[in-house]
Amino acid sequence: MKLATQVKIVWCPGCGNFGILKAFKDAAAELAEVVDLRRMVLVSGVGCHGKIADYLALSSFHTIHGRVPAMLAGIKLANPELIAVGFAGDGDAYNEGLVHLIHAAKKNIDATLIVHDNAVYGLTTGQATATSARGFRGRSTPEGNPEEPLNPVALMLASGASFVARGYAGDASHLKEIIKEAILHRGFAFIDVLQPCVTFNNTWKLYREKVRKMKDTPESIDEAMKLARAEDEIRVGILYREERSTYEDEMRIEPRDADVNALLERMK
Amino acid sequence: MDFGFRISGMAGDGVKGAGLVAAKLFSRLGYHVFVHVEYQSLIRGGHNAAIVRVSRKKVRCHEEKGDLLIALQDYVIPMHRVYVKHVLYDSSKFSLEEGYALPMSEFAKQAKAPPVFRNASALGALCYLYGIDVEVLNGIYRDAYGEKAEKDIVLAEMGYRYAEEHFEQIRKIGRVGEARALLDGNQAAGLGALRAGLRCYYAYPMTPSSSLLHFLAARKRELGITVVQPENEIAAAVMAIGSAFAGARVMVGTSGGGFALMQEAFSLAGMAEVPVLFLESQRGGPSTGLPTWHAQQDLRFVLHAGHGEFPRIVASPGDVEDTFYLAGDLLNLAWRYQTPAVLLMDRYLSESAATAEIDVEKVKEEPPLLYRGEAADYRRYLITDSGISPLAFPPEVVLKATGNEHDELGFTTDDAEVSATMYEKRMRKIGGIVEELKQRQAVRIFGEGEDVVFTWGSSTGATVEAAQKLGGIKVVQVRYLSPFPTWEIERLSIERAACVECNYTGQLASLLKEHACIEAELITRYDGRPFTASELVPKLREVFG
Ligand SMILES: Cc1ncc(C[n+]2csc(CCOP(=O)(O)OP(=O)(O)O)c2C)c(N)n1
Ligand code: SF4
Ligand SMILES: [Mg+2]
Repeated sequence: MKLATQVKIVWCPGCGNFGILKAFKDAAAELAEVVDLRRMVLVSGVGCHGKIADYLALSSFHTIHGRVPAMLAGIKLANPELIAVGFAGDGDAYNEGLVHLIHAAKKNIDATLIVHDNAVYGLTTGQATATSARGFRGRSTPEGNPEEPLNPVALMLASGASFVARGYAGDASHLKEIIKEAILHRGFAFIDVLQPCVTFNNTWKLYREKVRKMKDTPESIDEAMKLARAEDEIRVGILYREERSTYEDEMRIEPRDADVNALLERMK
Repeated sequence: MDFGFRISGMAGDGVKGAGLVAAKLFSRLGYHVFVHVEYQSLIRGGHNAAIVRVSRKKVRCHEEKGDLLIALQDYVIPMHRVYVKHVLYDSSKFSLEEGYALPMSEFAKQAKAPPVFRNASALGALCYLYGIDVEVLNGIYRDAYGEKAEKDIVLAEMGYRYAEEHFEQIRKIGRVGEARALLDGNQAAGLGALRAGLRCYYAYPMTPSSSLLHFLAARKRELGITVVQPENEIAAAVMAIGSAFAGARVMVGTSGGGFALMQEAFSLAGMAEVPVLFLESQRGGPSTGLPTWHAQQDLRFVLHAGHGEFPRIVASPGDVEDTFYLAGDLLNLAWRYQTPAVLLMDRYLSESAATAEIDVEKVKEEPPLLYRGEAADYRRYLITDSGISPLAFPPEVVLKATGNEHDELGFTTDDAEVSATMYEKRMRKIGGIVEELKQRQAVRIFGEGEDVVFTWGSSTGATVEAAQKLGGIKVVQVRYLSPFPTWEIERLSIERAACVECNYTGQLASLLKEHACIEAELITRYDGRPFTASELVPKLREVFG
């Protein structure tokens, strides 16, 4: 199956999104050996990241800002045979729609969510998001961001996500492996991808210095939490995974023809 | 024959439940009944009432006047005393100078039952007062609770025997026909949508829509429907869009405040052409307003909901049967035209139970336009004359949907020509919907005359009854509100016009003016209470002389 579309890519040259697109494409191509890609449905949010839906020849829904996890849940509840993969922005997932993210993790919906975390609102030209560093000078924070950034990986560990990872857009082959594992995971698989935005928050240098690949997945959630919060280095890799029943397993009812007459009879 | 009674107490006294069981005594004997419940936004204390009307004829509203008040608390009596001839009360709790003294709580104690079971003894006494065999009541308990009905039955018998010894009968009620189904508007909406193929129901709790969430959740396995209470209303609407995109028929339930949160998703459904049925049951606003009381304030809101322009189908039912049919029709229409639809209900319709004769076969799942071509050639937003593009779902095709303006394949575009073409394609669907509504009943007409009263939603019941009492008045219930059925309105011959609705500004009246240049005299109410026929008679007389 050809994955590229005719649509011209309009990300800035050097944008971390290219690394994410490549990693996903490579992951999908490799997964095609074991899964039918026609069953894959992508959902993307609104932002630079959201354009990825147009760049992939797979079923997709380019939804509204912040609501990717909710739409993934709706798709899976309707048809659990579909493989649901979401692409969200940090503003999208951690600001506008944070409530959905936490509940998707808590519910353990069987979907993968890849967050393009550039720590900035890209498409609206450079305002601070929930993951922007303290002191970040964006167009709405000319005197520096007064807030401490959110740690999304720690948040997801605390929210009950059954697969939690951090990836780096600058290491597409490592990210590809994480994405493959995430898609094959049954349950909510979350990947926060460190994504430099060359135009509004160029973090290439910082990440090159600080990102470290983890060798193994930590033994316990406490250990995972420690690594998630480590400040000396930024650990990338799979921090946590667990098998747990999914929301669809619990909630979905097999459709059948309801006998409305019988029910009305009982309302007499 | 037309009579009634009421039960009142505080929240936690089981007033609504008792009212529904009491109503069933009569519906099982073939009578038409209507149960209006009043309650406040609190869990214990306060004031609750169930007002039951019984008639040989179809009734669509309650009446204040009645035979009897069953008082479970003393402080509720002054609120009801003027409407009833007799009071039956719990004499183990308080004493009155008048009325039927029944030691309900004492009986419950003797039967070693929790205090709320006293209601069964009151209903036993009610049976006697109306000359109904207590076995009818016992049968209702047995059907509802099976083995566990034992204590209720013991208490019902105690109440009945006590009444037999101490009270005088009010009326003698016999069987007049077959048992009738008793259900409220919310239940009817759920059942109608189920007939049209409903697969998933999404709702965040909000009065007066919540009872549908409870009704469907309790029966989800039997009905084969996925019922989900998501994290908030935005999630409810977006999940529904996701499910419909994946091929499932969905409904979302809420009230005005929740629907306000769904605006962006509503607009997404319009742009992405995803069929979703929204049930919006109105309550007193603005804001939290009168959370447990009735209103019809959201008509304009729903007609203009969501940003941007796109086709929407909005309809408002006038009674329980109408709700069943409209819910089914709207779900089918949403799928045929691939656009959002709103079933605009109101608190009085949603939560009042009434006997209903429903022809279930009238509603069927009508197939949408499906794609039959090669998967590789599929174009989700194919430009067509009707504006309807054939549907297909993954994994059969690669399906690309989006909230951005898009080309036929579903790729984002901002090309001027493509945008305009796609905009026109969406809007062309309105023409088809209008033609379709001409085949369906866009208005319901009751009575004859050139003095015409317009109304909508649950105000229909009281309006029709008042007009019948006065005679020579035609009532027009506008069922479909978008697209507005101008063709039906223009066909009417009108001498004088009035419009009955529960809001301040006259929202339907303003639509009549906008679409058909009709100046209707406003009859409005906005105190959280529905109209009754008795109240409307003098108001209509004032307008029509
Ligand atoms: C409800 C809503 N609010 C605001 C916007 C405007 N908006 C478009 S993209 C965006 C921010 C995107 O930031 P992020 O999610 O981090 O994505 P990025 O562009 O960085 O990939 C905003 C606020 C919108 N489209 N919808
Ligand atoms: S603005 Fe930033 S995130 Fe957006 S495309 Fe350009 S570099 Fe990438
Ligand atoms: Mg961003």
